[in-house]
Amino acid sequence: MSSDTSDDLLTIRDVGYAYGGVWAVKGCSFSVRRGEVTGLIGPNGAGKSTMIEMLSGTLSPREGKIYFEGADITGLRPAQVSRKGIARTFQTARVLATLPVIENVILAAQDQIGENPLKALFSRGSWRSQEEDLRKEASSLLDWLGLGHHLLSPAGTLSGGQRRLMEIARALMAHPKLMLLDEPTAGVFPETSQLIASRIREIAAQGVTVLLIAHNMGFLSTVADDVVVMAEGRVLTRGPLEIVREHADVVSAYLGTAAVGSPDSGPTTARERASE
Amino acid sequence: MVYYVTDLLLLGCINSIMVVGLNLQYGYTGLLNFAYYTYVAIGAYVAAVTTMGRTAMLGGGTYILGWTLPWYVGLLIGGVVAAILGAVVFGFTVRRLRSDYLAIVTVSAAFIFWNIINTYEPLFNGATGLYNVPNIISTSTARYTLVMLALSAGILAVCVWASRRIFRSPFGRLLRSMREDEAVTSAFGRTSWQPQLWIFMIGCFIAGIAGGLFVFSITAWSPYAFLPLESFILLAALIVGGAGNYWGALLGAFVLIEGLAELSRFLPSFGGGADVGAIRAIVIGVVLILMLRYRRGGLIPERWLHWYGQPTKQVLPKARFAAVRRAR
Repeated sequence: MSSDTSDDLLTIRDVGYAYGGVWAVKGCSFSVRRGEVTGLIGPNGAGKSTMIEMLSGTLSPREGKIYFEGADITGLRPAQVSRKGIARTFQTARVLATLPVIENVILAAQDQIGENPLKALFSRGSWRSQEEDLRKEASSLLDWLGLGHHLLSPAGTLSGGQRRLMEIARALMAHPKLMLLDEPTAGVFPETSQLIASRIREIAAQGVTVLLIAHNMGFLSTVADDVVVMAEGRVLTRGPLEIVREHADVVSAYLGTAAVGSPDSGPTTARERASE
Repeated sequence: MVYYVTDLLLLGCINSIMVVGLNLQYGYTGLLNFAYYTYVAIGAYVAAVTTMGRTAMLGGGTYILGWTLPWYVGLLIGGVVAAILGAVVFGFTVRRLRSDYLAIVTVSAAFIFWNIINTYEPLFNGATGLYNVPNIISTSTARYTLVMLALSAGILAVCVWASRRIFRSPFGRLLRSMREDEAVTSAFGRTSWQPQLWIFMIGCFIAGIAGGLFVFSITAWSPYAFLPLESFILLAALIVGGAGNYWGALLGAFVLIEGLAELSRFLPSFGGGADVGAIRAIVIGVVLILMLRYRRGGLIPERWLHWYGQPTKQVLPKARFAAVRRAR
């Protein structure tokens, strides 16, 4: 399923991760094509979030390799992964609650001159204009995402949907090549959800590749070019949503018939059970 | 009376410098350093021994160096040594530990350092400490207090300027963000320990300078002037004044350490002299409890909105903490 053509921005090969002795992800391989929006779907416990955590460096895979732009990024720390051009949002939105929204967003900008303590103290001239530009960029991004009235509110006062939007602005502020969105519409009002969908399409149109986890099929059908279906730690199948949702394995994984197996067969995956 | 006021102001300035330095570590960055006063003691000791020479004390004493450098060089060396020691301690503790654990370790470190200083004679002259540290210029006692007051006020102004600069810079923003959630800053490419090491060293440098000013003012140095408990009082001052805000740090130092502590001096005396110290501790403790219960952000809470060119909108501490609770 993985290939090394230059169309692929991200390639995941036989990746596995176990919490203690339980494999949450095992032998997982797929790739994300440049400039596309790829959806990662599957029932609860399928390993989607674990996969995102591995891609962003929070978890280090127990086995397998992750390639980004052809370079091996397996086991890099989050800060290193981020510097390669991967930005993310979190499953439960993480906002710096006491800081204003605009600071939450500017923070993500890379290569800030004024973060050097000596320059911060003794040469304000060296970072002032960059700071101005970043401030403008952040406020126009927030405007674009419908948060223009909340620039100075402490981020802790935002609603759930607004937090999701702020996280997208923050990820964009880092000028990423790849955005990992962990459930960008979870717990979000349907209209906000539509706004998020259209913004993700626009982001993709500007050449940023997106990999997102979602549960809502309506949302996925509007944003995703392609979906990867995971169940019980493995990739079941991938393809356009309309085709994938007719797939027998997917139907059984979602409807739970895959769970019917012989009790002493040990930890088998959905795919193995389905083929039994 | 004039003596009393200038003395009070001098101590107020020196304490404020300490609280401003502590604010960089705790208020800006969230590093809870209970060993802060150790760096004050180290800075004071180094400033003394690099300037007082060998013959100042009767019977010599057993302190190291005994140089006769100009006072400003000694002051600077004291700050630098405190910063270097800070970096070493940082490497062992702050880099690996967070919040509660860091607090426990720094408390232990404070007591270890204090016991070494108090008992290891070849290095620190043990419990005797140092005395007869020469004045930085020779003049009458009254004038000398004024000179030290002017010097301390000047250095305090520089420290406040620097901490304001840091607060408003991207560096300050980075520190604040790390204080709030390191998972976010590392997800955007920042490794936590480098900026934190910087701010820790800057804070310790300021502590060392304050210690130098202290020793030049009172011309003596003794382990008992630097009990680890003093760190708690500075921290209490910071929390009462408003952690994260440089004005809060100043206000806390004056209101709590100077104001309340000195007020207790005017109480009618009963029992022995030890009661004054006890009352001071009780007053500070009660004020701290009341502040934490009713006004968590301190007298002047952290603010950032006014420098985005918008009218200042202060977030009340209650809202601030409710927001934090919701976020978790």
